Amino acid sequence: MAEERLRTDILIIGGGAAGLNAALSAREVGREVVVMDKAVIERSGHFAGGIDHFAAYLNTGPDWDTREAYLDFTARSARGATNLEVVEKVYCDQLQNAIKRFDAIGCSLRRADNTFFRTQSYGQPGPWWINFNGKRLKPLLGQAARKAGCRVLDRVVTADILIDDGKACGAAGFHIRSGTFYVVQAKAVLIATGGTNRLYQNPTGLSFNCWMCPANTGDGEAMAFRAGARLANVEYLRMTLIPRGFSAAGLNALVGMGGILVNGKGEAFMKRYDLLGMKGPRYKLAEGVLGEIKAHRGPVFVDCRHLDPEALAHLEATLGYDKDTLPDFFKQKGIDLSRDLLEIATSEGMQGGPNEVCGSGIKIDADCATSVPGLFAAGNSADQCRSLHMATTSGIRAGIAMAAFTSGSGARELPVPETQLERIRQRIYGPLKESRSVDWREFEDVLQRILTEGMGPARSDWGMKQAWQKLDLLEKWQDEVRARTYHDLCRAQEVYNMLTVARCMITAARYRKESRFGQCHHRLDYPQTDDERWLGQIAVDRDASGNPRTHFLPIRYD
Amino acid sequence: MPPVFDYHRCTGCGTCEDACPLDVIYIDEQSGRSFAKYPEECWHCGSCRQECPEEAIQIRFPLRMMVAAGVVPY
Repeated sequence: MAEERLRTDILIIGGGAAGLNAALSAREVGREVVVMDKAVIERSGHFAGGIDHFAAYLNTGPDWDTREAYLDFTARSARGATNLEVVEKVYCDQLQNAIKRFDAIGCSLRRADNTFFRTQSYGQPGPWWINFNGKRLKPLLGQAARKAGCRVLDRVVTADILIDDGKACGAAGFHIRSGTFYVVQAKAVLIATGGTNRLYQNPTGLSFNCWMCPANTGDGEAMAFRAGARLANVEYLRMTLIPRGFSAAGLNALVGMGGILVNGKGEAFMKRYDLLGMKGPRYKLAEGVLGEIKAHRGPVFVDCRHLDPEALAHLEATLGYDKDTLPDFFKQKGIDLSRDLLEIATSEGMQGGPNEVCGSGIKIDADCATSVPGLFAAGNSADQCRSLHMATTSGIRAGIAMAAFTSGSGARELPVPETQLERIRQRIYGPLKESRSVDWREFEDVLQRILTEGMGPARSDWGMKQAWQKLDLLEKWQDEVRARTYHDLCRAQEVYNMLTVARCMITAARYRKESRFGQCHHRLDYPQTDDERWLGQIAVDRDASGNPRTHFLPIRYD
Repeated sequence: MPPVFDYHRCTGCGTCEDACPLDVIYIDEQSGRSFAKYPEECWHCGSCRQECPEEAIQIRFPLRMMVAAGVVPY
């Protein structure tokens, strides 16, 4: 196989909102940057097709529009999962810089009249969501990164972080079209690869019809885990509400603009499930829909017919910014929101943090640093970050912190761990062997069945134990996964990483003997939230034999 | 099987191929035009359609999604 070797100051894995903002901030102070992405950065990852909302407090006067209100809400709504010292540094301190960055790349969060269009949802105390047209956010960010002088390796999927003497010193991967093996040596490495999707069965049976980007398969979390870093908040399951049949983004717009969930009898029911009704948290909305269906009051719809024409026009436009093809789906379905109810269903499960202000994944500190020296994480792959607002700010924070980390280290030797490289080569090209017998799709299907059955919204120790045993069996088939093309080799790599993340999720979820954040972690055998014992994070890292082990990290909220 | 290409318009410029975050779209070596090589891996994100300079791309949702959504042939 052909091979290419490069050297740089900073290697960024994943060219999304977090990775490219980190790249731009590191370039601003003159660091050499290489960006690796499994697609082409102008249209890769979760915001490839567009995005329409960004959460911000703007200090306009009211109490809800302040840093204090944001931190207070985060502490209350993500209690036990959020770490406020980190949130202050990776979000609050960089918020103004993030808003300026949007202006600088030519994708302003403001409307033509220089004002912000703001909406409220998900239990937040005020209209923190700025609605904007982010359909060209990714092309603009990608072009800005190239113009700033980043070296971009498009269509190169990363396989593993290179480690020397316990420190990150680069990464290796391969080109998904040519198969070329890439080795990038770097003084600091950022993982910004998004969350983990395709872990649970999709209601339509189409694995790639998922809510977040199906290319985001926990590659970064799995690589960090193998490198010895800690993961946290991985026990939490995320489910959202979607138009039946299409796992499309858009709930925030529907709820934020005043859409109301109604059951088969036409009753608005959310007050039964949450005091805030339609303004309650996302997991409560999902709980409400499941509850109505269970109580034989389905099907459930979202009703937007009462909205005035101006609000409806805004809603229809912004739904298309968030999911470009959702208007096509409505059209083909014959749905006109001014006239028709839209049937709603619960989405597939995902690995994710409790809500929009707290994530799940690689544990970071206030510098976006992980527990492995030289290895950083940002965006949806980091445990404290979620949504575009935190992807952008944590990216900027990581870029600044990595630039500081690499300053004055110009003479640092960059060793090449050849033994590790050989192991990586063996693993990644293994699926091309003719003798292999399991298609990656088959492997993914089994993984999804195991998690859907044992790790869904109603968990018990015996169910999770069974799931764990099945994953153990599945792991024995890992070396049978085959690929006929380099494209399929990338998919084989993805299911390998998904299995790693799944094992970490079960380990953490079994350890947390309480329930927290509604259906995010609902234990049938421990249905109560127990702050005395469980107020904090469960960190998962690898033991000497590579298996996940747990550490409880208490968090104090004063 | 989204996306669907209008071959009267498609010039095979490769813009959609680069725009696809899932590596679904390839250029057919024989015809020199775009095609969905891995249609079941489409995320329906619309990136290809947004970028196509010839407006040659339409979105056609898979049957499973259409039946789940109650869509009938048109």
